[in-house]
Amino acid sequence: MKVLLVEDNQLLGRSVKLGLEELGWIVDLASDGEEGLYLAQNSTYDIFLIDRMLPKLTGIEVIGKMREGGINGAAIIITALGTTSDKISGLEIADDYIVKPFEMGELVARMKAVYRRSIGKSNALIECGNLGINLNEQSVSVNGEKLDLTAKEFDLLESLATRQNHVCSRAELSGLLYSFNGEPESNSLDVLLGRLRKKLQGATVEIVTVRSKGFMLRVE
Amino acid sequence: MWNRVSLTLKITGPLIIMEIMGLVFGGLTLVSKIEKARLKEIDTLLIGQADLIEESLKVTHGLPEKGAKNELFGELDRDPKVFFQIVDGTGTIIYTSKGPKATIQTQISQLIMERAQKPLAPEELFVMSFGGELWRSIKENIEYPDRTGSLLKWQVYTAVDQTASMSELYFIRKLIFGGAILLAIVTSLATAAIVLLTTSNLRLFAQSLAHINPDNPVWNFNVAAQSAEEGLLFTSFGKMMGEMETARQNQKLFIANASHELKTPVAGMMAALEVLLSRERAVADYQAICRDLLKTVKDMRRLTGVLLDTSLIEGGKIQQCLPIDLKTLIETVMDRWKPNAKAHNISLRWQFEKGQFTVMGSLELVDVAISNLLDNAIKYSYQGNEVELHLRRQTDGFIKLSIKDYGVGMNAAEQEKLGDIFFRADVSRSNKDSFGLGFANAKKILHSHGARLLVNSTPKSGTEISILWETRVPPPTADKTS
Repeated sequence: MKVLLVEDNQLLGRSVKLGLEELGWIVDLASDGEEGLYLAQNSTYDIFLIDRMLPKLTGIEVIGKMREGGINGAAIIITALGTTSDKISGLEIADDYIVKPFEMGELVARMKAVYRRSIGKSNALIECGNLGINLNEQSVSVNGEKLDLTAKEFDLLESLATRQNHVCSRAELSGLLYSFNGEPESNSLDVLLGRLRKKLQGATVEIVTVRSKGFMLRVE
Repeated sequence: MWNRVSLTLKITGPLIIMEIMGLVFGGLTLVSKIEKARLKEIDTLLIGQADLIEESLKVTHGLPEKGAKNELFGELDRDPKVFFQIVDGTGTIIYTSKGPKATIQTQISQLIMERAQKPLAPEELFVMSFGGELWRSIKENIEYPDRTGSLLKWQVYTAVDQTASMSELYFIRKLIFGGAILLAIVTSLATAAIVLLTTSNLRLFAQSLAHINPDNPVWNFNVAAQSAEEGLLFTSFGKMMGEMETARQNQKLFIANASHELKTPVAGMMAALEVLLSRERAVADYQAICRDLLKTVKDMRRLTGVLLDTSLIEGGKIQQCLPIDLKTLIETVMDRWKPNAKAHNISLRWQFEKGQFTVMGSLELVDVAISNLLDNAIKYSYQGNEVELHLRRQTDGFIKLSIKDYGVGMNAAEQEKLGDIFFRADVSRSNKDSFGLGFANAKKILHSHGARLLVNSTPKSGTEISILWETRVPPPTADKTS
């Protein structure tokens, strides 16, 4: 899962980024509203974690401009403002609202819940044919037998599985699999796709290439 | 008690009392004048009748002549509306007219005799009232030569029936008093209605105040003023509500900002510690995070101090107002900030004019203000530059302390917002040592000391902050420089 974290407090931003990265997630960190909006507009994210009181553009303004630009990923506001009216105004535009200071466990649980809601799942298990993807454990099984995938392979499979019946462009997939500054080598996505296809040979799903458009997961 | 009486009652009560008094006085005067005029008319008639009786009276053998010999006397004698009685010097009734009914004759005669017991002035008028009848009477003394040549001394009591005239007079009196009472009621009601109408907006205004929620003081009052006084009251109150709302919004903003500034580092420390303890790490990782935590704790300690300064200044009272030697104070502040300036590779330069520079105020607060401005100058200077302090007396008598840096500077929009609590010019926002409170606090302190602040800033060139104190001390002559 790829996260955009917009937080101007250096310690909080770095700590949350590290904590989420250690869960295997890809995290981009921006320290003000304008930088956050730029990243949101120029990369692809599964979830946005945005501080409310930011320099240059407030968190509410960032989300508003994202929505105007057609970026509809799940957004969570993190803020020190914890009154009911603050929460109501925040939830009018975001999917969840977390008041500082928070515990990392709660933050992660809420991010997962919001992410599940955004992909239309009530639990952490995605089933495609005989393929089972557990988002919490970040594991994949075929007919109940665990499949050995690397973190990047899992991210690729998750990205395709959560966007079934949708053709993911090469740029979209690259955006979801790599951090903004971690530009992949030109053929790394193809190498990754080749490896994943090989590992999915026993499954009733296959990654198909849609000419000139991208890739999608198809259940046989 | 008086304070609890409604304004309507306070205004209408005295007005109604005055109206009633006026009407009673007017009514009495009118009745008195009408009565006098009417009585005068009646009395003139009565006296005329009495004179006529006297003139028509002819005496033969000591008795009045009647019949064909004295036709006029006969007519008067038979007139039922006129009664007369002649009494001689011994009090014996010599003659009684025959006009009125016998019962009336008896009553009048009896009353005249009772009256005759009392000393009466000549031509004294008096009223007799009996059985619904009202007669007015007059006594006249006459001396009459008899045919025999002797002089007769008689008293003639003449009474005229005035029942109709006096009843009419009493009716007019009742009419006037009735009219006065009616007028009093009508004018009282009209006065009350006018006062109620003119104070109706005040009642609506008072009711609107009762509905103001202290947590969200919105004043909904859409009533047009009906007088200049109401207009002044509503406008002044609206203005006060506007200022209160601004103060409330500022307070809300302050709390929001203070919450953000305090909660965010706590959240950062919690997250850092949770991540740090989530698994085994290399010693270098622990050290790096501990350094970050220490810096955050120091920032929070500093923020707590600044917030306490802010609350102290927000109190708005200068506890002690004593003479402050500005030179000594500035030197003390500079000594305290030299290590910080050195750490930023900034050198402090100063220039003081010769002479005494004394201002009145709180040494502690003015120290905070100058320290905050110097801190900002160091913080926003480009490394390797200077911060200059100049203290001098202007020709207009003002003491001027200017603090000039050659740093990031501010644009016009940023200068306008400078002094707002928690405002940080955007370019400097990356400077994590700033809370956006220093200049706001300095501004408040200096304004409370009667000093003026001037800001002259250019982006990427620097900022000069000047403090101006008004003083009556004459300007010095020579300079002291470092």
